[in-house]
Amino acid sequence: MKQLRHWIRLKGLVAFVVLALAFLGLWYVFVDNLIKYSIEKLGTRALGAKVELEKADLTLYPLGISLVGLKATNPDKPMENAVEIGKACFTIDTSNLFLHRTIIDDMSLETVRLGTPRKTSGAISRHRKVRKAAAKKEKRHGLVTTLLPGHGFLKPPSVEQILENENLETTALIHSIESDIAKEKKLWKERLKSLPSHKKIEEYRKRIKRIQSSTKNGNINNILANLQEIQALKQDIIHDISNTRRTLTAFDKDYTRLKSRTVELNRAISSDATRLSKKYSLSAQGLSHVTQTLIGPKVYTWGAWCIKWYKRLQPLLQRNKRHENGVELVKPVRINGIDVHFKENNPLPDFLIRHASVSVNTSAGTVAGEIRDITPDQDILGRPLVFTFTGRQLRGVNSVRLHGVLDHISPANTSDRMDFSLKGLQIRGMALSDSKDLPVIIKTGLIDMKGKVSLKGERLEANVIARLSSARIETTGSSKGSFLQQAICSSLSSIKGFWVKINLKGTLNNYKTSISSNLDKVLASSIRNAAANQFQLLRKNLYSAIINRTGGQIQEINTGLKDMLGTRSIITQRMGNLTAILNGMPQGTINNGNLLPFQR
Amino acid sequence: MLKLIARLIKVLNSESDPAQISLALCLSMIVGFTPTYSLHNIFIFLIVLVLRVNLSAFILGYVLFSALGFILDPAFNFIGLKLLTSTTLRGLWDWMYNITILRVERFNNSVVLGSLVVSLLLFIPLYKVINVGILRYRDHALKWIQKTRLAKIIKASKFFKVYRSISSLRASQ
Repeated sequence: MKQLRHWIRLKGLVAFVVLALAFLGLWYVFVDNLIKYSIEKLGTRALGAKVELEKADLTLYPLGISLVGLKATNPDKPMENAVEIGKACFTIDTSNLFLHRTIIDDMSLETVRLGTPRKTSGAISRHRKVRKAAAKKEKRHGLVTTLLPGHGFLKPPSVEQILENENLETTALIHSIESDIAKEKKLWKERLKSLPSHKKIEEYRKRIKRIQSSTKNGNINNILANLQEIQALKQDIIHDISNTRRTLTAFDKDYTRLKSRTVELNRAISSDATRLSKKYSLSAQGLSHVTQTLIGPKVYTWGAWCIKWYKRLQPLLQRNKRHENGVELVKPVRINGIDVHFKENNPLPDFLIRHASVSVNTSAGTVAGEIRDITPDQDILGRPLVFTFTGRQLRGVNSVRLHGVLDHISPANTSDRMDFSLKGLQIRGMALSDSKDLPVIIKTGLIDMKGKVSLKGERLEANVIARLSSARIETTGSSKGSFLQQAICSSLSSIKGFWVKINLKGTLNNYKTSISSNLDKVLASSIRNAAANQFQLLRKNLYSAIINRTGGQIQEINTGLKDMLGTRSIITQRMGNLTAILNGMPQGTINNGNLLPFQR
Repeated sequence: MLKLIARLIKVLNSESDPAQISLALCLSMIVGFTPTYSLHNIFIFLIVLVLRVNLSAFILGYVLFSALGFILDPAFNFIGLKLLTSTTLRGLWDWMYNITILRVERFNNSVVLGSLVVSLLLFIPLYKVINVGILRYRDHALKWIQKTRLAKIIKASKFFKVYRSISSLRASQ
């Protein structure tokens, strides 16, 4: 007993209880602020922009939390909240909380507003740099897009801009001719060395003089010997003349070839001008896609916005899991180490919101909806996320409906689909095209729209059809614009309604947008002549600009060719000298040993 | 901290049971090595308060072992992960995973399991080593240390004044 008393400290038990109670008391006092701080810290880290919360309140029975004034900044627009939630209440399954699982049975989000303005910037410095880099990249991409065919045809890029960004066939040809001329010059410099030199010609003359002087002596032996010498000399000269003639023929052939290449230059300039005019002005093919050009940028922006937000919300649907020896390894967010998940008798995800009812306040009224089964572990739950939002009798809209299923049950075979419809949307002053060159505004009109979007694995497909009726379209700046702009403006003003079909196909990172509309036909017929005029004008300007740009190089080529004619003069001069020597020689030959008469 | 070390030295130099100091240090090793907010640590705190172990040794040990645990975390993670992914132990883990209290204990976390296993394996050897160490210290080292020049310098230091003041306080009580 004494030994036991030596080891047991009963006061310690009391101290433990007091400490535990004190800890729980302190926790209860500060827990609201702890929750607020945690939501703000983790939310900001996850979103990349400030997340703020006015107040958090914890209730112990039943265990639940209510959050008031939750604001999440739009990471792309720091002076705007992406979402603002007036009040969020939810109850938490206590038994699962002990198993480190957050299971929310029911959640209600009241007064949800999107895109509300902020008084102070919600940007955080670490993400500012990343966004700047992204914006720079986008800007660069934008510049390329404006230079692509079919875009910006209303005001094509300047001739200088086009020539800066394009490779010209003319320039390539000039370089090729220049190097050809240089090569030929070098070659002919070498070949001239093989022609009979002045020294050799002088030698011929000396030999003739020698023969003439020895013949004057009248010695019959000398005469016979000289006859043989004359024959040999004549053979040599004739051989040289023949060689020189062959050289001249070869030169003429080369020269003619080079000359004909310079003629090709004119054809290349013309071809470059035509090709680039076709590329940067509205072609016959482009005429059938006017709508794509007009509203394409807007559709591209909408598409990019949707994809960006889908990617941001993706961690809510599926998390990266690693497997080793058949067990699942999950990296928890808040503590070190790796959590290993084993087979459970009643498996449940680590985080789950079974049901959330949401009411979104828009300027048109309230759109109510519900979301079921929000979890990053759909593979464990075995159910996809399903959401439905509806709004009826709103201001300026008859009805809105949005329904979607985000199925990540099988991570290797995900399938997300969403369909939406919007009926009787009253339009007032909606910009159809934000282009500075051709701003198109629908002053009044009614839009009915429906669409389907699906993402199966990496494969994205979206089809949207919108119908505009009772429309009044206004275009500004028509009087100042080109004749093409004027033609489009006049056609658009008389249109009362049209339909547009938008199709997106590809992957999230690389998709193609195609837009078709009955607007194309109407516009195409009215702007055909204007487009042809624009093409001719651009071609003419490009032709002159290419000539101006390459004029100096063409001049150099012509000078080079002229220089080569000097080589021809040398060859003809040598041939003339040799012919003159031959003509001035005594005529005669040995014929069967008989002496033939010759004269000087 | 100075007071804490002084108290520990006083206990070391006193006639108190060496087991109380060794046990406190071994328990502090478990709390220091494993993540603080683990279920087993509540149980350890209860033991530390109810059993007559040396509290100064426990607190000092907790500080030292926490620092050491921070350095050894990668090793704990490695050991824990090896154990949790071992196919031979799969049946045991599956069974434990379905017991609520063990899930609260978070045994399936690599750092929790790795550090707990290492500290439990070291518990008895460390207990024995410290015990023997204290006894030898009291028998041989203490007398020798008191004679050294260093001990004389320490005796003249502020630290020794603190030590003395605690000793006299205890004596007056």
